Amino acid sequence: MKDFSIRKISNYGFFIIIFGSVISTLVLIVLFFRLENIKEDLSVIQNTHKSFLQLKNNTERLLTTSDIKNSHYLLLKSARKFDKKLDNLKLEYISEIDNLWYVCQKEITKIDEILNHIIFNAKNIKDKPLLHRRGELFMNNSSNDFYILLSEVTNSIEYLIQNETFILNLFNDLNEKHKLQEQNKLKNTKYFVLFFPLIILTFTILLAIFISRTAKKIETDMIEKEQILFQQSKMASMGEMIGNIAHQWRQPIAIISMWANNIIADIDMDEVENENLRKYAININDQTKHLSSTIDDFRNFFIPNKEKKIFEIERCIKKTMNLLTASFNIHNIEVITDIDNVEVSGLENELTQSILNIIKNAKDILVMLPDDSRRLLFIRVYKKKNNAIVEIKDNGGGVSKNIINKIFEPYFTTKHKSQGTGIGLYMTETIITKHFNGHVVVKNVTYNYDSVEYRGALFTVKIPLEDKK
Amino acid sequence: MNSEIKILKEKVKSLKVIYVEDEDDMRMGTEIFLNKFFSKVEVAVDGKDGLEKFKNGDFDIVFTDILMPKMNGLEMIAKIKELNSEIFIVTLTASEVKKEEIEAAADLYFRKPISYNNMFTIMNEIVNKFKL
Repeated sequence: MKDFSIRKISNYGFFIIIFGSVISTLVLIVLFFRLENIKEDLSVIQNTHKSFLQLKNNTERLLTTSDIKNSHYLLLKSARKFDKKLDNLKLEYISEIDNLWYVCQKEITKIDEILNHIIFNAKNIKDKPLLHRRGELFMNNSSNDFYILLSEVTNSIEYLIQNETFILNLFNDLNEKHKLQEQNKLKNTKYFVLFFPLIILTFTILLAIFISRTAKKIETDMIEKEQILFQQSKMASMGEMIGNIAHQWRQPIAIISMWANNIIADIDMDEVENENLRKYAININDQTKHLSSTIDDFRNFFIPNKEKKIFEIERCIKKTMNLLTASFNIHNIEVITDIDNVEVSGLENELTQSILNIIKNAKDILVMLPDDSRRLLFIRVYKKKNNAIVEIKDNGGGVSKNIINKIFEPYFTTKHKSQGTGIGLYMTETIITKHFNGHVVVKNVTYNYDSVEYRGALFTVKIPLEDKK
Repeated sequence: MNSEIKILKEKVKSLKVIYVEDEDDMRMGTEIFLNKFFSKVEVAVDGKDGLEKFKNGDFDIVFTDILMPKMNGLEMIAKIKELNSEIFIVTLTASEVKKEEIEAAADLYFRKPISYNNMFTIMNEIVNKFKL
C-alpha cells in the first residue's frame, strides 16, 4: 500500500518533469527561430540596400567618368544584381520601391540603348565624361543629332539619379523602421528569455514542494494508520484480556469464598477455633496475593515500554502464559515448553505482544478441534547461529494453502468479525521485522508426540542477536 | 440459621461423599467445608482419579468440578452414572461452557464462587433428595 502511493507520486513527478522539459525545449526552439527570422529579414534588407547603393554609385559615376563603356557595363551589372535582390525582399516592404524601380529600369534601358548608339558611332566620346561633353556642346550651341542624343542620355541619367534618390530614401525609412521593430522584438525576446527560466524554476520549485509535501503527508498518514492499527489490535486484545482476567480471577475468588464459608460454618456450628481461623485467613491472604499479581501482569502488558533494553525471551513467554493460562485450562489446551536462556534487545512488551498474537491465533484454532482430541501447543526458544529463534507449533491441522501467504496481511481474517480483527499477525510481523530486524514465517508441519502423529502450523520468529562488544 | 445448620448437619452426617477438583487450594478449602457435614469425604484430583475412587468406594453424593485434566467432569459423570444411575451429583464449576449439558447431567449445578447460601441450598436439596 505504502510503496504503491510513493511510486504513484514519483511517477507523477517524473511525468511532470518530462512534460516541463519538453515544453521548455519547444519554447526555446521557437525563440531561436524567431530571433533567426528577425536577423534574416534584416540582412536581406541590408543586402538589398547595399546593392542599391552600388547601383546608385555606378549611375552617378556614369555622368562623371571618362571610361563610359566600363561604367555603363557596371551600371547594367549592378542593376541586374539589385533586381535579383529585390525579388528576395518580402512584398510588404517593396510595393513603393517596386514602382519606382520600374521607372528606373525603363530609364536604364533607354540609357543603355542611347549609350550603345553613341559609343558605336562616336569615336571621341570615350576620353571625356558625359557631363563635360554636354557642357562643351551646349557652349558651342550645337544642335546636331549627336548633341540631342547626348543631352537626352545625360538627362535620363539625371532623372534616374533622381528616382534612385527617392528609392534610397525609402530604403532609409525601411531600414530605420525595421531596426526599430527588431529592437522591440529583441527586447521582448530578451525579457522572455530572462523570465522563462525564472518561471520554469518557480514552477519546478513549487512542484517539488508540492510533491515532497504530498509524500510527507502520505508518510504521516501511513504512520498514523499503523498506530491506529496497533491501537485497534491492543484494544481487541484488551477486550480479550478482560475476559481472561475474569477467568483468571474466578478460581481465587472461589477459593476465598470457600474459606469464608468455612469461617461462617464454624461460627454457626459453635466450633470456632483460633488455630483454624488463622489457617483460613492465611489461605485467603495467599489468594489475594495471587489476584494482585494477576492484575499486575495485565496492567504491565498494556503499559508500553519506552526504553529498549536487553531481556530474556523467557520473560515474554511467561508473561503470555500468565495472561492465558486460565483460558488454556478452560479449553483443555496442553502447553509444552522447551525454553533456553536467550537474551534479545528491544521493547519487551512489543515482543510479548507479538508472541501473544501467535499463541492466541493457535489457541483459536485449537479450540475448534473436537472435544475428544488432544489440544497441543508447543513453545520452543533457542539460539541458532547468532539468532534467537522462537517456535510456536500447534496440532490444529495447519493453515490451508490458499491463505498461508495472506495471514500476515492487515485485516486478513478467517474468523467472524466479532472474534478477529485481522490485525494480530500483521502486527506481529511488523514488530518483528521493523523493531527487531527479524522475520516471522509460517509453515505446516507433521510431527510425532507421545507416539501419535499430529499436523499443525509452525510459526518461526527469528531475531538476529546483537554482537556483544 | 445458626440452629438450622446444626440440624442440617445432623441430617446429612451419615452420607458419604467424593469430591473431585484439580485445583489444590480449592480442593483443600472445600474438603474442610464438606468434612464439617459428612462423615466420610474422599477427594480426587481429576476425572480419572475420581472415577477410580468411585469404583472402589461406596458413595451417596459426588461433588465435582467440570474442567479438569485427563478426564473432564462431564465424562466422569457419564461413566459414574453407568455404574450407578441413582447417584446424586453436584457440579461446582467456574466456567459456563456447556452449561446445558452439565445441567442435564447433574442434579445440582452451581457456578463458582460458591457462597454460604449456595452451600445451604445444596445441603437442603440433599436432605430433600435422601428424605432425611
